[in-house]
Amino acid sequence: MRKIGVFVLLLLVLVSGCAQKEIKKVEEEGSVTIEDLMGRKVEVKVPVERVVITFNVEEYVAVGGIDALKKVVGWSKYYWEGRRPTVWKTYLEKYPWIDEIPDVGYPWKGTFSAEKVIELQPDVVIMSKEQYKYVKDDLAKLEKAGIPVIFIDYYRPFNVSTHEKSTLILGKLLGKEERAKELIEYYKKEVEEVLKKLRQIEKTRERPKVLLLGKGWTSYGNKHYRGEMIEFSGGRNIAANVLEKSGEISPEFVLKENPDVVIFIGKKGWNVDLGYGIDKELAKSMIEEQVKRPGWENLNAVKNKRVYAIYIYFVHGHIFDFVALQYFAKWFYPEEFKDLNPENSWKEFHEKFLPVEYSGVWAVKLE
Amino acid sequence: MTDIADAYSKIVQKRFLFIFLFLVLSSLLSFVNLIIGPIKLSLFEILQSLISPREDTTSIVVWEYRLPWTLMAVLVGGALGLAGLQMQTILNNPLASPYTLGISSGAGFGAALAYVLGIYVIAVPSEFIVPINAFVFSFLTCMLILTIGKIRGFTSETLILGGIAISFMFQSLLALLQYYASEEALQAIVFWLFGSLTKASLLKAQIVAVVLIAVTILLLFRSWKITALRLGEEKAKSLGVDVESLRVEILLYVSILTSVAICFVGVIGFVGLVAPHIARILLGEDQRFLIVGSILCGGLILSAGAVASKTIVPGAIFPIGIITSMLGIPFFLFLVLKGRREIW
Repeated sequence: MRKIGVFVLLLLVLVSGCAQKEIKKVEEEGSVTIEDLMGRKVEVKVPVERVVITFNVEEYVAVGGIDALKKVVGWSKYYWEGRRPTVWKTYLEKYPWIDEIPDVGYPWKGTFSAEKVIELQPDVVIMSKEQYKYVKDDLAKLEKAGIPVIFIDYYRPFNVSTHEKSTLILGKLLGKEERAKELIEYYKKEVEEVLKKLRQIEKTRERPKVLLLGKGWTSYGNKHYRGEMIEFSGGRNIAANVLEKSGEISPEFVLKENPDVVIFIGKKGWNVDLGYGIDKELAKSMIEEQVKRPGWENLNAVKNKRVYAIYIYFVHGHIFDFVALQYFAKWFYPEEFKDLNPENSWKEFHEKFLPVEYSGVWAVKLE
Repeated sequence: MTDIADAYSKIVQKRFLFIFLFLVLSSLLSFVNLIIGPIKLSLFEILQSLISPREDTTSIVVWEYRLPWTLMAVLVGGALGLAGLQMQTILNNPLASPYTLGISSGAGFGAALAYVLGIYVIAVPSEFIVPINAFVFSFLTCMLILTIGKIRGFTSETLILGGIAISFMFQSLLALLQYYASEEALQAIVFWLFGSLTKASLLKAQIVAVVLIAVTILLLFRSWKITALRLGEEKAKSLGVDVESLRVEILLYVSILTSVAICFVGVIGFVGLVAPHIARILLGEDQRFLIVGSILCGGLILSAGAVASKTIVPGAIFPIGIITSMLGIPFFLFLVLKGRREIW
């Protein structure tokens, strides 16, 4: 009995030794060390052929095109289907086969399944830095299974540096470095000019008081990226005085502060319907509903019709936050930015980088 | 004989005194609620615009924000206090609260349905979509419990166990919705479950007031029967009380009262559990006093919570559900530990 045991053990050692050798061999060819946005150094064999991605699919596709979408072997399906139904529908109509891509759960919901990822045997897992703390415990397991995880980050608003690093990582992973450069150059062109002009304007002009609203009276302080976005775009975020991250702002405080500009964040079925395939008239009627709050007829923003709604997509950790910057800049300083056309920029971004057609309405003004 | 009569009238006097004290405190806190806010208004300005409302900002602030906020705090607190009292009485259980039978989970589920799926039961103005959904589902919860009672008999065990089952059912349904909800909808649900007075309006306050007054009157008429029930089911029966039908009736009142109260402001815990106990410790078992006392005490607690919710971070609204527990628990513990009377 013991002899058999020893024999089996010997056999196991031999087999695992061989397996290890094989892995080493693979690592040697085409493998690079990438420093991700968490500052982790990760070794990945590039270009990758099998990818699991849990956020920022749009950026990934913008760099790699439809070929890259075909490389996805698992993703957070929920992230699109559940959170961004109009976006999901738009992609699904054009590429029905994406429905078949397996779900790996969604880190923010605590449903991410490392086991599912190991089963899928991807060459790399791409995640957002904001998801790190939700998957920390899974990283070791994936590492043991020899699956590299790379964190990218588009959550710092209008931050050329993190956006660039993230985009170049995507380029390197997909072997599309030229395209990645093209994308980030485009991004730089879209934000830098606006930011430069804003810093110029701020020297002489007083910043308009801005209220950014989610559902009900939810607003965002300056430790929240949405509050930051207002400040970076040349507005004075009134919620910053009372909120750190997100929370309910006092309705009376809004009356007291009397904001010059009010912006609602919208998506289908939430505040103001916006996004792919949404009818402009519907969006307009919904923004009219939103301003029917007691005392609001006396707000500067309402009196001067400076009430807007913007699609949540632009204020939620994506490379197209530049569209929000352009809308905000235009809304805060209409004279100075009268030649800026954010809608066109967004259309152009579709033509140049996204595999679906532009449609619907993405921002709307109270009339 | 006169000794007993004297003693009794002394007790009654003491009870009236406490009720009076509650009333004074409630009014005081309500005034504080009216005065405190980001916009500086003097008491004089507030009174002036209360008496003769105009079209200026002061009147809008007072009539559209401060007054609904203040009234809603008193009324919802009162409704929850009363509902809790009656729930404890008919279930003969000191741990019972308006939420024991799962009304809050039902309401939460209804609200979440509106937030997540945009499903609503009937077409109404948008500010009423969530309240009506919450109301319908919390009421549905009660009907389910009544059905269970019909089948198995209205004993407190059946009701509590049935309530727990239904409560868990709605909780898991709510969890399921939260699982599918986007971050934005999830945040809306969480805030709803915390409870908030920002959605208060005069109309909503009026609705709560009407229901609260109606239920209070109905209960006061039955106060002797309910007091008898507290002596124990057997004793109440021997005194000629139809315990079952009394239970069903009160259950119905409590359901309506709780559903109406929480559908506008979200689930505010703790008040409904503790207000009746505080009232009972101070006033004793006589329902004529206890009913009024629980209402006033509930209103008092929630008013205090409302003041704190505005002042913790001026300009922001801190979730009131969190505050009421934090404020009320030390006081409640003090009464439990120091009180001379037996608590149950």
